[in-house]
Amino acid sequence: MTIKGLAKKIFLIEILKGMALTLKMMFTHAVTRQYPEEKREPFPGFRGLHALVRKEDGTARCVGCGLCAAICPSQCIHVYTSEGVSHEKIVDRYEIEVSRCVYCAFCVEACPFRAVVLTDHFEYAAYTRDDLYMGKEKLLSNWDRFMAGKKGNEYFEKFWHPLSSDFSASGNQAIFKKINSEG
Amino acid sequence: MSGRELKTKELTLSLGPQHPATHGVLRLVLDLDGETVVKCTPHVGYLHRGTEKLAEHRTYMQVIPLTDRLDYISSMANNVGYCVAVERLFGIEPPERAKYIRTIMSEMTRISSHILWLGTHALDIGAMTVFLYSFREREWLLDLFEMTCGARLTVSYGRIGGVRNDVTQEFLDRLYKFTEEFPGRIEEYETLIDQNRIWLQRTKGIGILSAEEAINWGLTGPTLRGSGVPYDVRKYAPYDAYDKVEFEVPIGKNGDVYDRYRCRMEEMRQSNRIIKQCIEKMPKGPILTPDAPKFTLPPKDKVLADMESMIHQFVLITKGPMTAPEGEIYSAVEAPKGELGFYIISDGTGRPYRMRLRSPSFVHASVLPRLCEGSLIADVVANIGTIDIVLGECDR
Amino acid sequence: MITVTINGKKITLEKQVTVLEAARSAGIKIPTLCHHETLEAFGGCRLCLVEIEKIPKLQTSCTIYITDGMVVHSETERVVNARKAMLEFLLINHPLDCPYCDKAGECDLQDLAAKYGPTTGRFAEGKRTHPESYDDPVIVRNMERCISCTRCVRMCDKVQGASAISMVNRTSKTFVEPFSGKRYDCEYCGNCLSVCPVGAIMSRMYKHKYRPWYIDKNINTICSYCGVGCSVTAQVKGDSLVRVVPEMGKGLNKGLLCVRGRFGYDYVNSSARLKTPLIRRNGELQQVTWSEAFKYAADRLRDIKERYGSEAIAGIAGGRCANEDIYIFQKFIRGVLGSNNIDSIANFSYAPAQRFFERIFGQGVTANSIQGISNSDGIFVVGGDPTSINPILGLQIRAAYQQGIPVITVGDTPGLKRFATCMLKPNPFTETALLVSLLSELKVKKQFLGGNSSFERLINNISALSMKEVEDICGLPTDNIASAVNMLSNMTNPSIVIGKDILQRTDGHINLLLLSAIMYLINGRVYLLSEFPNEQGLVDMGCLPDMLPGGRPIEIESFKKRYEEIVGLNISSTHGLSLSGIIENAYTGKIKAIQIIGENVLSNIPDSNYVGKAFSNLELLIVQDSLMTETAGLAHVVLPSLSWLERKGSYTNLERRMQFMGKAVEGDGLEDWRIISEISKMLSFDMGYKGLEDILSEIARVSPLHKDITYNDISGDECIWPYKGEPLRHGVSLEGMDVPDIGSLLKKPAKDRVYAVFDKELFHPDSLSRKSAAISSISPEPCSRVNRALADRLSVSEGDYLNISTDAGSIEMAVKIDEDIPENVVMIPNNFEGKGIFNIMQWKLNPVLKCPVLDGNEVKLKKAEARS
Repeated sequence: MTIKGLAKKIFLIEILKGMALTLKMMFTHAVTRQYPEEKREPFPGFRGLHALVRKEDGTARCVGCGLCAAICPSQCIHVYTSEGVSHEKIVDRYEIEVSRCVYCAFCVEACPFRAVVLTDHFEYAAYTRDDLYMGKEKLLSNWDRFMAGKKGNEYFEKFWHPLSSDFSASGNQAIFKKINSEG
Repeated sequence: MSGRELKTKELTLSLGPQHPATHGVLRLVLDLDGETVVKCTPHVGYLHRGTEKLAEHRTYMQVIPLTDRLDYISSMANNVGYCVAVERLFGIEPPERAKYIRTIMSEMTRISSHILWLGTHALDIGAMTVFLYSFREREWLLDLFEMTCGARLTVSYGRIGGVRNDVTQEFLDRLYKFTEEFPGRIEEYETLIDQNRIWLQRTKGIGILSAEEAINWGLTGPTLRGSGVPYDVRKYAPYDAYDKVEFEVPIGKNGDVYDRYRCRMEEMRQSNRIIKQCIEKMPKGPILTPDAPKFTLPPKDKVLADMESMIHQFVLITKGPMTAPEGEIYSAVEAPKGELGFYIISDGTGRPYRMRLRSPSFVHASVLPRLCEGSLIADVVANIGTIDIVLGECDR
Repeated sequence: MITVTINGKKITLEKQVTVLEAARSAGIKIPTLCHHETLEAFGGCRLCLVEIEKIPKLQTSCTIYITDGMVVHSETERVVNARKAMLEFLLINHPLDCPYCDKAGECDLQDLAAKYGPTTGRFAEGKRTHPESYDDPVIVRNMERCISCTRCVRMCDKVQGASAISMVNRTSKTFVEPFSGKRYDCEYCGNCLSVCPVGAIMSRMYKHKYRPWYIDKNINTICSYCGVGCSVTAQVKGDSLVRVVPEMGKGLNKGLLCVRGRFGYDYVNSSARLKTPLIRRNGELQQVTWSEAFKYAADRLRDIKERYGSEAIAGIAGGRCANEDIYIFQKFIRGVLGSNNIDSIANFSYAPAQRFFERIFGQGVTANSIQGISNSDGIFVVGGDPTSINPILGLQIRAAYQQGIPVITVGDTPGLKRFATCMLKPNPFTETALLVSLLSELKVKKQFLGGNSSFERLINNISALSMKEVEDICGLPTDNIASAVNMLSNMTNPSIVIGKDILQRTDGHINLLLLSAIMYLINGRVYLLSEFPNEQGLVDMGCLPDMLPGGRPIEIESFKKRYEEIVGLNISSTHGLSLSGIIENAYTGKIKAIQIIGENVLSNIPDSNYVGKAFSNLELLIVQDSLMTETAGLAHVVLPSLSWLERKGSYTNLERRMQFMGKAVEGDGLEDWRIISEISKMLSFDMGYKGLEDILSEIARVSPLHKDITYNDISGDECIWPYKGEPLRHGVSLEGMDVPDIGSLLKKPAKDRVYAVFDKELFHPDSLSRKSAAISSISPEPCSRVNRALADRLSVSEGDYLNISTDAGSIEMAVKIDEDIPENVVMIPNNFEGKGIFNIMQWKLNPVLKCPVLDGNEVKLKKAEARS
């Protein structure tokens, strides 16, 4: 062992270096957040609690085609439809077992009608399973609570995929811009 | 006194499945002679969900969320691995931009997986501080995932023929900033443990595997490269944009816990380099291939306007691709843990006839008895940490 | 030997088939849309286009036949593009309906477009519009979706033979419509909707309720309506039934169904379903618990047995109960209650007819495959309309006719009107004379000498009746009879289809003898039409007063001993009372207790008044049924049993094929066998069955016929007679068989009288289908049929109501005018409560067969008062 190595060993150089780093960190901003008190808004398009889209006339936009139920990998969507008085298709029940959902958002991707959406709400822990078994009314009220106003439409503009633009190049696609990274 | 010799008795100790150091629900049954492990029997399967069987009843698209849940801390890489396999099976080629996005995502996953590994591995061995630092950067990456696809862990971002959605400018900018800052962060980790005498004593000369042995055990990824074998799927069978970027494959020399640690640290630097190159080189263009309309969902804006698109939407969603060619494929990618292989048989229907996963964690778990037997019980956690297994992938 | 090359693959075939068939036999896939296995080729959709070398244009492979040395390519660019173009054409007028269309997910057009079609449309012009038609109660037509493949029309014309629909208009305006333009007014078989590749013709039963991916379970079962035993699949979501559908090509029906099978399944959810046991207290049926009901039934049975003896107890089994149920039932009545008085409606015609044939020709003579009908070279139908009693069997006759096979019918067979080479419609109730004359002519034609066996001697002894004599009696021209005789004598391998009507006559036993003589002469195969899905099972499982399971007569001592040993009970060796005997003895008060399982005796046998009185004389009437019936209304104890789809079991159809019916949904009630074994336990005999397997293994030990049978055998495709067992070979004994007295036949029926004739309707053959909302919506009320001349005489027109009365009572019924029935006849069905022919008939039995006779019911008709 060299003298340098011996000195390192005796004077705990590497440990002191580490502790110096720790000491330095004491004077920087904390990166952690005190969660329940301090909340971060999820990024737009976050895949949280489900909602059924409400049309302007107050009814659900869902027509009951059942594609969401077909694509759902965990088979947690149940759609019950029936024939109405004028032979139209009526969605009697639209149920999502939230506790079984895997939040892949395939239902959103499958729906041709923009009728189902995953909101950015993620704090829906409940004490009973019933609270996590969402019927049509609950899902519609989720829309009112979390997607009301422009937010809903913006969501679909951005996060309803794939769109024609995804199959071709477009002018406003993100690419590396040197100036941005430096500035 | 004759005839009354002191005898020792072997003690059987069950480590796990609810033990923080076993990284998930791994159970090791250890036969101990004092502090020496005489026999180590891993018990796996606590997290078995039948992924391979489930895949047989799901359309090719529906399998994607299943792959998220294999190695759940590197779901992007699993998505990519699966999509690459299916694309090769179907003979379709994702567009250039999608390839770059996927490469970026794979490497981000690698960094995120490695820093998680680093934090927990160090924590297991006794160095708590690194854990706090590494999670700081992991959070950064997970935020970027969330920004892109709305999920942090189980992303379901890959699509057959491309990716789910395009990346935003904000994402690229933030990621580029990350790549510039990250090497400094790696140095911080190294400051904390690289030369730390306790760390060295706990890792050097522990769990030695020779190159030959490592190959014979079927190890892949950093676990193999720590023993000095420069095998990396990204180099040997490049996929996505790996043939368009420059990077090196770091290897170890002694094949001990320390060398594997060094390998992973170097890999993070290389990954950072790849991401940086990808961002710089990424072209504009489609993110889903326009050449394979029978395999990708039709554009949403056309579904309610065009009969053909509507039919394809319905059939792809309810039955999967109808024109899947018959055949079989083994396709592997370099996941953070090692070579993640998908073996898929197609019988021409919209669902895989059979899907078999070659998961690195399962192979790596098999080497545990070899590493642990004869070592001290204190080194068992170092050995578990060094092979970097995730039970979701091991048990499938 | 023809060798063709398809896509470079050499295929050698013996027969000249179409290119499509040749390709499919070699595993080469060629897409088709208008082609369907059960239908003839049409070549309309042009998806099966192939390139054939040396033919400049693409050819439709479904219509072109292979020739030696032909070289075919099915995957060239030209073919692929042509296919794509065809699909593009089909889609330009197809509405964007998939989200609303029930067919989405199982739509041939969707699948083909996704597989071979273009991925984007280029056609910007508008699509045609055509309003959806809801004129029909069970079928909805959406002609916007129609792609004019004509599968439905071909199905209707060629397979079903109903010719109810047709293509209307030309070019892109083409669509399919029934001739009325509104309602179908057809047989409602619904086979058109099962072949429709898109959602143009669909069932309203599950409209907007169904998606293929909603289905959790598919349960294979057997239709519960008639004795054919068609395979159907019940589809279940969660714990509720979504629909019951056939699977094309599956089962002996090959995916075809009749109206009852397709639409009639909803009786399972009928509001008339019994949910809890009921006991009559103070004259009213009151809800009780199961244990109360069991105890009550057992106590009363014990009491009656002690006071009046076993002979005062009787059991009546139903033809819709599974083999397992009726086996347990006869074991209970015979062993536990000690009475051989067990019978069923099968003994009114099906069983005696079968026994008669078996006595002469050996057990199993009636076990002939239904598919065999269209393979025979001639068909003789007598005593009922197969197309309404056993519609799928009827389809075989229609198919045979269309292949050019002669079909001869005797009596009123409206369903075969356009499918009979020779229709003999004798005056009412004079079929016997006709049969005698046919036999005498056949003896001459076939140069029958006779005398070799006792049966031949018997045939020889039947005196002849000339066609001239018959012409007068039956009102049939000699030419007609002669041509029928001609055809019959030329047949080498004919089928004889016998309905019940010919037996339920004063001369029914003579008719049987004549038919067996004809069968012997022309070497025919016999098919007995059967109205209940398990009528044969009743015979096989020993639900007859003189037969033990396996069709073994109770007199065979060795067999009886074996039965007693296996079952562990002693049984009486005397013959029990037959069904008519049971009812007569109940009427006179000798029978004190009757247990009925799954049979609406009151409604299903004549005469209702007499039976009703007999039942009200009883001290105890136990009825096990899944639905509240008239019979259950008279009962002292009503025990709800599980219905079809709610339980497992096996049925034996008229060709003696055993088939397994699966359980799809849970229901209220218990299986019949479970109810019986509970009562038996209370009577201190624990049957100890844990499940159906135990029962079947006991049947397999008891019945030599069902030796070693297991549910694996039954669930398999071909559990056909004689299974693995031993049929019983009788020695031909013709004791007691009388040579008919021809003299009595030489009566000319009075022209001025009007007779009531039992009309077995397609929609409501008995009392079950009226509980189905769907079938009731097609046929909501009973209808009598009269000739126009008679209608004019009564001054009634279609839709008016007719008052029909006899000495026994009177009923009112709507009138339909039918030109094809004789003038002195009114056809009356028996399907609605209190409104059937059985309500106005008198208790009259055939002296030999002991079955009620339906002939000679003179009625008085008058127009009923206008009804609001």
